[in-house]
Amino acid sequence: MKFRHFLATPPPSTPSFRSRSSLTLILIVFSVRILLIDLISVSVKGQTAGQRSLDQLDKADQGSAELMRHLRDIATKGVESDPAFLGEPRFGIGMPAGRYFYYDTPFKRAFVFPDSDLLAIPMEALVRATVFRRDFEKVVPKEPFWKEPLGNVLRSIESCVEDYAAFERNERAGGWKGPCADSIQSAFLELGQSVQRYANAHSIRPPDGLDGRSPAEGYEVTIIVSPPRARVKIMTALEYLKCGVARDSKSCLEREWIDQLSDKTNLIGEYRYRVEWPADLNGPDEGHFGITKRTTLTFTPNKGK
Amino acid sequence: MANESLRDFRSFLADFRGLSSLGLKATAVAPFAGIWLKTGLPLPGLMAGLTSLAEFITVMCLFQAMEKSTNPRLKKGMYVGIWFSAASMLGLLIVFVFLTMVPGSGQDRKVKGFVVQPNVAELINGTYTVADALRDTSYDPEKVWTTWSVKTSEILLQLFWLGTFISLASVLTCFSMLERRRLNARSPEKRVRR
Repeated sequence: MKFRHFLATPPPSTPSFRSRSSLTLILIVFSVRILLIDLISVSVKGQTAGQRSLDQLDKADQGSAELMRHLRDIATKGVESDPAFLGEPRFGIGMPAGRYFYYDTPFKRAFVFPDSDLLAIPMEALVRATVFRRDFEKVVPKEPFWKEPLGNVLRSIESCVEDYAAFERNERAGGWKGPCADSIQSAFLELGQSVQRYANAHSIRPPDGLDGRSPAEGYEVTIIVSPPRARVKIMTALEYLKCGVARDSKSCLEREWIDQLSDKTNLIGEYRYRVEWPADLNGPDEGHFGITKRTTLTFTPNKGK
Repeated sequence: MANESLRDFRSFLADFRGLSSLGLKATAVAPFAGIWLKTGLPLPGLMAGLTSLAEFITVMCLFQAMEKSTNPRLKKGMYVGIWFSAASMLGLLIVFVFLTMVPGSGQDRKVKGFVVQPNVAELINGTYTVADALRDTSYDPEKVWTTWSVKTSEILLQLFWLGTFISLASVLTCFSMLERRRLNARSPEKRVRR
């Protein structure tokens, strides 16, 4: 099952990461938040570092460019300060030879900002984009395949932050609804597709598994999302069951979802799926499907496969 | 003396008259069939080459060791080989039946383990079996069984595979040597010297 490994192989799924992540979760949330407050407060007249909270920051008369710059600084610092957590590599080629890994599953937003924070979504995306930029510049600096899609990701984040700043300045009464998750995610999806095209063109494959596992080859499955306005995520039925009995059931499920970026993939056995339709198409839809032969899966809003 | 011995060995390998000699050659090639038959043998290409090499060394050593042996000793060697062959084949059959599976039609055979992982064992009950768990992991044995038990199964399969072919080669070597002696005894003037 190619895509299982395509996305599930990076170190974040390892036990050491899980234990570390649970231990560092609180530290990260608070340290990043404090760092943001420090960085912002020194640039705001008449304020002393640490005096302002993020909510107070909202009221500050800042341009979106300045806010974006601060967020970039925070993302860079977060990535550089902990290469084993926020800075965990997300793209690499050649270990083992002829293989690559690409991992774009979002961090839990609470790792960067509290979930309720309006900046949590762009901030999380910015951290991911920072890691991707670092990895691409290190591994394939001269290849053009990532530059435009990653630029689009950054533009979508910037536009999100601009909207947020505009809302803070003038439109608070109107109520800003959009945390821009959809546009950011589509930009990441485009980046993933570009990476896959590059991999196909260079005959490099995702690893069978970092631990050398070799699951069954499976059957070719064509995935159709109609209308094409949703992300499809899957996990094996056993992972779903395991998460059901796990103590941290909710976060376990969040960790195990694997994005299906390609129209075609190889699958076999039973799976749990989640199709993230936008709200106007009745929202996310979940269910099970089984693969015992070459087949086509069609996902439509609220009807499942 | 050494030249004569080598000549005898070459003559022995090149002797196409005897059915047993043909069988011996077939045995040396047979391991490669495992690659296409999708036997589930780990590292199939390497194992095929290794098995053929091991068979060749066995034939060579046996020929050297038994060339001067008496016929009763050769027969005894052959019977011992037959017992080893039978035991290895039985072992191979048991491993195939109990420790391998085919995920679906057209899929490669996979080696199973025999010790279920603790977090999977928690889920196993009357209605949810190990086979269900295996299906639910895309037939990834190492997600259901412990890695060491899967690796042990793989090693067992490789050992029985090697044992079967090596013992088969030794049986056929002894049998070929006996057959050659019988043929040479009948018509010494037609002794093959190539």
